[in-house]
Amino acid sequence: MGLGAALVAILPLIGVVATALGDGQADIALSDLSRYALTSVALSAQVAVLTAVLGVTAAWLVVGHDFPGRRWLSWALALPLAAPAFALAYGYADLFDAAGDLRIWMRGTLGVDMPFEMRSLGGAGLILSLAFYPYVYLAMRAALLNQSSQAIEAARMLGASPARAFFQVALPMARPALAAGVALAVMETLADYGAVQFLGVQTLTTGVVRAWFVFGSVEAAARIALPLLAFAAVLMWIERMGRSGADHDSGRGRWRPLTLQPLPPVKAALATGFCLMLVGLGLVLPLGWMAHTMIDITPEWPRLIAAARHSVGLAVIAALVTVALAALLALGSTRHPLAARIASLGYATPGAVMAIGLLIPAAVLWRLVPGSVGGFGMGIALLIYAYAARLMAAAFEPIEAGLTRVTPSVVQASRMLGRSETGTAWAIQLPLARGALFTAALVVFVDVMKELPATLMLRPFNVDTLAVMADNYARDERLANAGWPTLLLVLLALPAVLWLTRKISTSRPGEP
Amino acid sequence: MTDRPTLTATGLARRYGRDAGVHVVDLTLVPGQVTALLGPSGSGKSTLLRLIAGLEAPDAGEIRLGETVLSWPGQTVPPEHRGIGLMFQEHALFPHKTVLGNVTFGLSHLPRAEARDRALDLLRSLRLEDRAKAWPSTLSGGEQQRVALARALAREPAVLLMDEPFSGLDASLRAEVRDALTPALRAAGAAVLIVTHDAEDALAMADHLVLLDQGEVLQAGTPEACYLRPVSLAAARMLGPVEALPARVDGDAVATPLGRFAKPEGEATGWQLLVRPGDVRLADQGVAATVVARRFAGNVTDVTVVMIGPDGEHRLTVSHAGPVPAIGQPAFLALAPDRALVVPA
Amino acid sequence: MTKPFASVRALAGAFALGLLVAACGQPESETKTADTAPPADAGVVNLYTARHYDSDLRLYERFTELTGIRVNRIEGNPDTLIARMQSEGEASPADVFVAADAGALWRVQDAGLFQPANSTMLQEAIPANLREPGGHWYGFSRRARIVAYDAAKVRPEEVDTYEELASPRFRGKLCVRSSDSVYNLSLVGALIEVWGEAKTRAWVEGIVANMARQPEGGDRDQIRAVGAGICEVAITNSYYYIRLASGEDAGDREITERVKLAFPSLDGRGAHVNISGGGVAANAPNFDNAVKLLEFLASPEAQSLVAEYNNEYPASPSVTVPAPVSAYAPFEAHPMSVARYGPRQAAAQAMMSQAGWR
Repeated sequence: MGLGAALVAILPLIGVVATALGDGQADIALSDLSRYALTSVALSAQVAVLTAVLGVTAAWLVVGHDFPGRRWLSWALALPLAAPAFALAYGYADLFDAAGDLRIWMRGTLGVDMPFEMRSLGGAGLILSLAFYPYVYLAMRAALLNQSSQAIEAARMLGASPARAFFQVALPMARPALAAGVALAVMETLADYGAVQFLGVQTLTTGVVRAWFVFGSVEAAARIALPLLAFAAVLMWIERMGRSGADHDSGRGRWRPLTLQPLPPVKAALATGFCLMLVGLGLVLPLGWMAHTMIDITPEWPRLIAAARHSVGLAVIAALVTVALAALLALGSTRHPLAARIASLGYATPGAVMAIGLLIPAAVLWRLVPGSVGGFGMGIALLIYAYAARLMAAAFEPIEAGLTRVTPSVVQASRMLGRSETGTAWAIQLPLARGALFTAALVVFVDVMKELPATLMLRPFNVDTLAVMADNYARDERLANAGWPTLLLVLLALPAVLWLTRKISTSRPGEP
Repeated sequence: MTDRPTLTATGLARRYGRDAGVHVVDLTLVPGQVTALLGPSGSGKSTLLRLIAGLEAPDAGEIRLGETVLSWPGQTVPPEHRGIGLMFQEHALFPHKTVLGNVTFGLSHLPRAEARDRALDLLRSLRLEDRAKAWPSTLSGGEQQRVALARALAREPAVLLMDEPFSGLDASLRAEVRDALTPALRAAGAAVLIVTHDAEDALAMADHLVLLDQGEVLQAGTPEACYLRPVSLAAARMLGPVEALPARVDGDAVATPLGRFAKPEGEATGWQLLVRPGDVRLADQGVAATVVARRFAGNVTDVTVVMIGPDGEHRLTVSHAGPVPAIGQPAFLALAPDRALVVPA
Repeated sequence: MTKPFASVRALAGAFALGLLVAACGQPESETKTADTAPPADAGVVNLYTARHYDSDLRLYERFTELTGIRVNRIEGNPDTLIARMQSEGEASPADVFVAADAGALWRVQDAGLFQPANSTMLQEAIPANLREPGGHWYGFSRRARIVAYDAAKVRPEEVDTYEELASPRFRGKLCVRSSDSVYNLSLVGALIEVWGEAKTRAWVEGIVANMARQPEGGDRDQIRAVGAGICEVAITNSYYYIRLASGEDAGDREITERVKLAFPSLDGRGAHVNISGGGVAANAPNFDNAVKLLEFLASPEAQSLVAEYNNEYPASPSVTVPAPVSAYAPFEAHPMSVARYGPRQAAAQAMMSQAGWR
């Protein structure tokens, strides 16, 4: 069963590899390809460094120090997760456009211009970092909360200043979490489609798209995608290593949370300011600007509401299906650990690459079931399948974590009392892990709400989601119109993100 | 090594600690001497330890090391500047540093080579020199504990605090490690404070014993004094099982179910007689009782007897070496006057 | 747990859920046309469209009003849609494919995904150079790829040919979007057709040398960059400028008072023109309805509506141009067949990449 679920997830990846083996040429100069690859690496490196600095600083401030607003900032800092990266790209590109009011005012009144463009590698790195730093923040926050204060106190007792205790003890001990968080941020960067494309930064994904769209060669596109897949696999591996490393030092012995260090007024104000700035730059400023520009536009309410219904409906179904499959995978993961690893690859797969791979299982389905292509239900099923393949890892992680907290003896007791393995899963494991199942469902829900490339490719007739609508307007260079679906999307995703972050912020080691 | 200062805590109080609070505690830690702080969980002993370590600030009172004030209400010299070492209950070894890395961590003020040499010396004295390159997760519980000790001693602290140092070890290893450790601690010359809930550890190691309950010191003194002359039932119970029998004042003496004993100095509203199981003997004559239960425990047999006195029935358990009457048979109890512990009720 | 059927069951469950949504999601496309009392249900037409304009929806609603044929629609990137049609093969439900670039239409044809629709009405309504000779696809609206210039710094006669844009006169003073844009690909494809490889290559290199900044943003952003003084000339599609000039944003309207539109001429025969158009899919299940949709799009009413909604030019010279497009309508369009751009796009992309046009 676990194997079956894993197969579901990796079919598109097999599709990419199979396609890459086919004939087909794209006349893309090697120099261009290497430039795309370098840009991808440079962008990933930027995002890795920036998300690490921002996320670690925020987590360390919130977990280890007391300052005004700490309590609500500790969950508010994760809220940018509700905003898709392309939304931030729209907002920032427009706000800081060289020909925009702000820059004209800066040049005219202040006599200075912005030192860099948002529509550039640097700008894209900044925007994606602001969108993805919550991954590092959440991972580091959990790791620091899990760390017993004893290690830091031991360092202090051995003469280390608070700073040295953090950099030499707390941070190295949380290194697995840092690696995992950064790997997630970089994977999201590689998988990004909307933001990078809108900002005109040409990454390897650009190469895939150019080979496919301009030169019309899916095969060449798939070949360009292979290094991306390899990169993703390496990141996935790093992330898994991070998780396995995190196991050995948590949960043993008498756990005591870190002592909150009171900060003197000036430093406290700086800490509050830094956290507010992150939330502001990651959510409030770009979306606020979009809200400002869209205020003159009267949206087409019926279309907007229909798109919202589609977004929410797809996200809910995808959450249910993905969680069901991921639960199968997790229940079987002790037996097939490799299957679980491979199935997680989809998460790091760039959207355009996933799209190529998805066409192959789709084609099989279309040919197997004549008339299914136009069929609404089949179209939806295929789309749900795409979501499940892409987000399997995101759902798998919390469910696996939840299941490992179920003591083996409880499972064995159920088997001794005459329940089958499946019966035990239903009666014991899944109910005990229901919190984890719900968390996984919410993660999938939020990600599907923001999803773009697979939806663009595979949706059936007359199904527009909010993300698709926003993308359409943006491609038509009507950013003000794109504001409405974007903001509605964020508003609908926000409660789920809120629930997730509040739950994360109250959970303690040893609790389910 | 010889002119190390004494740590004195006076009027120390901490009301809302994370653990139980501490109410007005005085404590003195003398160099070269091992003080054991004994108390059940929730007695405030961990809070007291954290106050001395500087991990928390007191609400009242102060802590001095020699002439230097380390803590005063609401303020505390940060732990890294106090010259106090702390061995954590779970050892808190840094999992990402080797044994040597752990021990040299506190020696960052020394040149690298010198720090390394000192650490290796310490490890050698604790028979750990071959584990210098090992990772903490590969060490046994006893080894981890010795590394933690080496790490704490490396800085030559004036005061060494040890939080439940033997709690992680199983019973067979415990006595061995404890007995090996005690000379090393004395040799270090620091004022040592051991916090523990185990009476056996405290009695075996301490030069000076402090009994703490509900944030207050019940009794302080040598282990012998505390054991032989408890000031209250609560203090006596901390050092071993004890049973209380009523004692009625009768002139200069108190009358108890086990006979008459001298009344101690001082005034109290009432008195009681404390009896440890090994102190009462089964004899040929004495106070008459009936055996109601017996439990064989190896070199002794625990015998439960019932005495009928003027003020009712009293039940008592006696540990006796030698033959024991059968259940339902009479027995005679004798308590030597020097073992009679009469304390205020 | 390892029973192979279990995963099949899980998948089947997923599909069942999908069908469930189908049941609750389907009716809405029907309600749209209910109040306009259409003719009896005349079936459906399935449209794959790479145009992504809100206004097109109103166009399709009008079609349903007139014919009773419901329009099912998927929007997407042209090549995503092509890939999808290829994967769907003979089972493809696509009846009509519509794109906003002649090159994209050619690629569909090249992939064998169009079939001829030899309707007399279409052939009469659409000029010969705006449709594929074999009837595989037809252009319904035109957009010119022309020049927006800073009226204070540039004289109109300095931008009345495409060559001038690459001349040293505009060194560091030109704004243009990236070479990924199909509009640029078709423009350069047309230049290759007229000038040949060598001259076009020199032109592309001249453009790259003239760039005021690395390509960023869309056409609208280039016009606004001229307005902000970042460059003096920008290459843009006509409707983006017209949209700024007649839109709701006061700031944008103010820009177009300083930034004017020029129609450069290619070899003295007029400005480069691209089309929006469509054709009947090779495996169209509703062939008749597909042709009806194309004929509707070619009708004077639809052409006029597109011009009005999206500020494009009608394809037929006979259709009256509505405001505000009418103010920009009197220009000479190059008579080259738009079917020539597509085959040149790959060469154009290679040439632009080599020259460093991002």
